[in-house]
Amino acid sequence: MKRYSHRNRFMYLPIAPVVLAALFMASIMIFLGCDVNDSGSSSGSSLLAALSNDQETSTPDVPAGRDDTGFYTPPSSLPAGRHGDIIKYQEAQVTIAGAPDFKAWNVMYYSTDALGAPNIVTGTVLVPKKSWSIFSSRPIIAYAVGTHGLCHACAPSAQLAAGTDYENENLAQALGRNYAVVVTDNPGYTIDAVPTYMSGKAQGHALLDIVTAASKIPSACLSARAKVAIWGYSQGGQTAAWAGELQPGYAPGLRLVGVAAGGVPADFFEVAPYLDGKNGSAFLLETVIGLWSQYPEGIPLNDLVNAEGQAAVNRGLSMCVFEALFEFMNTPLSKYVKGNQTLDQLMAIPSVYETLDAQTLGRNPIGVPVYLYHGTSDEFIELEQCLKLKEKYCALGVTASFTVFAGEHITTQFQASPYVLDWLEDRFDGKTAAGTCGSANPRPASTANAPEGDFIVTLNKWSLNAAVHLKTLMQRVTMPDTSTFSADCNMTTKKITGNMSVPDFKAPINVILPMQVKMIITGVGANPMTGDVTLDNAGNLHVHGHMMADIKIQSITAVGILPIGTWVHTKEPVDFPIDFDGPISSLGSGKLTFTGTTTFPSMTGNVLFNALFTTLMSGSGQKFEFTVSPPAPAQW
Amino acid sequence: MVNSGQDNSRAPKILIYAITAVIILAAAFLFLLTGISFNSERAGRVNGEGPSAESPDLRKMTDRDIEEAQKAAARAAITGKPVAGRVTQRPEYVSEIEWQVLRNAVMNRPEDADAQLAALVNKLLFFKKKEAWESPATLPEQRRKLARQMLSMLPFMTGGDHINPGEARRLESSLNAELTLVD
Repeated sequence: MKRYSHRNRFMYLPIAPVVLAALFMASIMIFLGCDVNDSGSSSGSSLLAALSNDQETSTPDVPAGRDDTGFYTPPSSLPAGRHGDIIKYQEAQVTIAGAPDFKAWNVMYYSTDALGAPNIVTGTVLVPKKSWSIFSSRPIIAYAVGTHGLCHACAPSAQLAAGTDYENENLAQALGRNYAVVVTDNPGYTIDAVPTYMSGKAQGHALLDIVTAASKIPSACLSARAKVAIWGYSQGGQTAAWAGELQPGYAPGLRLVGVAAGGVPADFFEVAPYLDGKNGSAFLLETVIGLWSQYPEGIPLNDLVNAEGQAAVNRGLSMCVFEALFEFMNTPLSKYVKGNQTLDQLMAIPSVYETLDAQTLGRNPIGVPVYLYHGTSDEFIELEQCLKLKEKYCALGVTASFTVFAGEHITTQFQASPYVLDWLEDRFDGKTAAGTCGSANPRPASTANAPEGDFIVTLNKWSLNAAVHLKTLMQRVTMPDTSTFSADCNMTTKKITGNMSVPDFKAPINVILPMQVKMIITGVGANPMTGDVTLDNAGNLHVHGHMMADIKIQSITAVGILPIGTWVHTKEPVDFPIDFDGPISSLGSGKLTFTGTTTFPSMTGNVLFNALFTTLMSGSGQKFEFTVSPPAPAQW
Repeated sequence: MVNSGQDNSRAPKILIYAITAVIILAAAFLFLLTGISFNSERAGRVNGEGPSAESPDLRKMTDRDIEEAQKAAARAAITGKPVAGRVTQRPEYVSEIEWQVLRNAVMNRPEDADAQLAALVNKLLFFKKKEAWESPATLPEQRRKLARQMLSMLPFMTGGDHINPGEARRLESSLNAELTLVD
């Protein structure tokens, strides 16, 4: 018995290392988790699927789409499916400046239009290559884009592929936090379709469905049980809020944790008059086209438009957002309508009224916390109607907060990003959201420029982070943190005027011992900064001008041997060339930086020391760097 | 036996205390020595390169002294000549204060301090000549001389980015005009 027992023990011995090795390999696989990589395969995904309760849905056998430009053409024989199911997908080349390494897929999926009929929508799925925690699924941000334009070439997926999407800055920041980001094109960008622009329900459905679709791309490694947050601004704000309201009934399986919606056109009866014949009139024309596409009976476009209107519709369908913005700026809708009916008359037509009314937000609660935000100087989407949206949500018991940014419509989209992402991160982390429904802060009031006439983007006392490198002294002089920059960018006349305010400050200058000098930098004239400003069709901002400033210095310490109180100043103003070419998002994201070199002229003011200070300060090759960033927001 | 045993164990303890004390004393001595030498070095740097020791009288200069020194240097600049190579002595057209300032200004660039100091001295000379040339008190003959000197220094000024090309062109034109007018 004893010998037999020994033999048995030796028999099992070799099995132990095998089991240990297997367990070790399993641990490694679990540790690796499901990560996207360059080959497009997922490491350990099947093991995770088997082991993790998080992976509830099985991956259907869906075809990868062909890698060609015909992606926007639905297959001739559509596979059976319901909303959120994939029709086809393919890996995509997407360029997002500033984003970490990520993988991208274009996806075509089933959704539902505003009237409840199935439709087909395209979009983009972005997943960082960096691993996510092994203990949870990678969170997903369902990103709802702002107006891109009705031309098919303007589809977000097309713009992302070209690396020219004006919202790249926001996407880069979201990817930088290692979240997956899904971006619906919105309905109407497949071949032969017309975008149903501003059709809230259709957009909301499309946004919710791309989350489900993304989780069905095997190599994307996204779980159908991942936490999902919704984020959108402007048109995207409308989409986000609609998606939030629709989610409990339409996509109850999504683990929605929060909705961030900015610049929301919540009530078309208030938004439309604010756009009609004003700076943002292009958005109204596009809304008419988009709603006609979704509600042909509600908006009987062909019966309403005159010849000029038909031409405008055709042009509108061929343009991206920035081109359309300037093309149709300050043009009243009545110009395009038979009998030149006014907006009020048009909105009184019962079918039109019903259609517009169907877009009104705030009639249904959102089951998760809501972060609303708006620019106080928004010239396109009226602030007040969005404040009312918050009140409606609060009345429905929604945990809502409202943040106001000192910016106009375009800048606010990018000013808000870090704050929105912080808020979303808290939702993903499971922190309790603090609503501001009971806020005692004063109700925000609009500070927008007149929405008609010239389209002027105003930066009022934005933070100026400025430094000058004194070439001869090899010293960097940094201006005080409280320095500000103000400017009016007249996008109509393409002229910029501005000023900077730099409080008097002390700077150590190492000419003898460290000597303290008092420096005063003042802009010259009423508008020290003048130049040209343009916004091109791709959403790039171009600023080229000059900032003229006088520099005055005075020795103020006894440490040095220069007499205390010696004042000298530049004989002529210093000409700082102001040049910037970059995405419009830079205006709000704190990345509006002007760098260059300038020449300091001779110094004068003290006959005994002019030559010395001129020797030390003047000459060309003086480098400078000015960065303009927005002020902090406020809560309401 | 017990007492004897205690004595035996005390002897090595005393030895240990003694060695420890010696080590502490040695360390303290070394520390003091190092500290003194460090302070000497620092004091030497200040004495050798700072203005206080090299020019102890600078701090005692009255406003009037400073004014006189600056004016004297300005007068010397009218006829002063540019320097070349390593500048070891203060030129007459550079006041004591200016000399200290210029020397300190090049301390940030030890790799080419000599060349930079020479450049700053010449730049200072140029601007002093320019001030004199622009002064209504300067006599015509002196103005002509200054104009010629400045014209000869302009290539240095533009080549070293001490003056921008546009300003140099305007100045050159004015200087030539003066010479043409007077000649």
